[in-house]
Amino acid sequence: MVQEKAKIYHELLVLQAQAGNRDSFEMLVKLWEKPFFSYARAYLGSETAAWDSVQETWLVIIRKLNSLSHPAKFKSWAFRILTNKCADHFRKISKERKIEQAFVKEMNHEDAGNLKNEALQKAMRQLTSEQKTLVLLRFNQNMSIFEISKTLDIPEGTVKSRLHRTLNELKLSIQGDEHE
Amino acid sequence: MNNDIESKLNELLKMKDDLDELKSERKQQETVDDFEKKQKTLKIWYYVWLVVCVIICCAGLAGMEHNSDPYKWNGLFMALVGFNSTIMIKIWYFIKETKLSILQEMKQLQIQVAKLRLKNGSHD
Repeated sequence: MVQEKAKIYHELLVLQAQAGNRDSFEMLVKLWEKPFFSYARAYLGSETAAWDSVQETWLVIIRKLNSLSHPAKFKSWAFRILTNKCADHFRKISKERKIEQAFVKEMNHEDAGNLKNEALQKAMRQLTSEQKTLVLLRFNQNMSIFEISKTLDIPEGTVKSRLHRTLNELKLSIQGDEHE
Repeated sequence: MNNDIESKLNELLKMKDDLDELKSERKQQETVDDFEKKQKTLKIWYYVWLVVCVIICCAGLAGMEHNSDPYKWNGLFMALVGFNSTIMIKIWYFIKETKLSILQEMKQLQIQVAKLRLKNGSHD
């Protein structure tokens, strides 16, 4: 019930922001800044790139907020934009080998304190952009299969099968590392 | 085994509380400023469009006073276009505002209902 109230309140904030209310938009930014940043950092592995992606996402949200027909869809809509922005940044970073090396270094440095499973991190880096998105939405944002399917605009069954396949790939990759 | 990997992923990827508060606040402020700027620009465009429509309408009305017939017809056409555009833009603004305010009222009502349910301890 509390969740339902929070959900309605959140929809109200989106509606008020659509009507041009500055305070409501500020509340929305406060609510979503941390989840957005956490997702972008886990996706890109770099704080600077994560901040850039989040900032660009907000700019798109500001520009297209009025085209959002249903306020309940804000979460999936915003995460879709963020995922696209992160993928763009990731492509840009990966294009230049030098930058990529620096990025991997930075990633290792930043996460060194939290590193509990080196093999899993390594396996995560080998995932494709699509697989990484799935894993992050599920385990970083704790989204349900339904929410992921809405965010990525694919059927629930496809989400389940892709997630299952990705987890299997991660498992095999870790096992391979352990044998080496 | 998948459960094992899921718990490892949960641990590895869970949201961390190490957000740089100062930087975050600055970024939030930037975002809100951008939003305000966009709203201002939208309002300015609305008024510019309105003024342009009124000018067209007035020019058309003035043209209708002219001696020659073609001028009069052109003036009438311009006056109609200007007048209709003014009305259209006002209706668009009114519909947009009304739609949003009705939806907002509905959400407020839903929040009140949820609050009451919570107070009464209803679980349905």
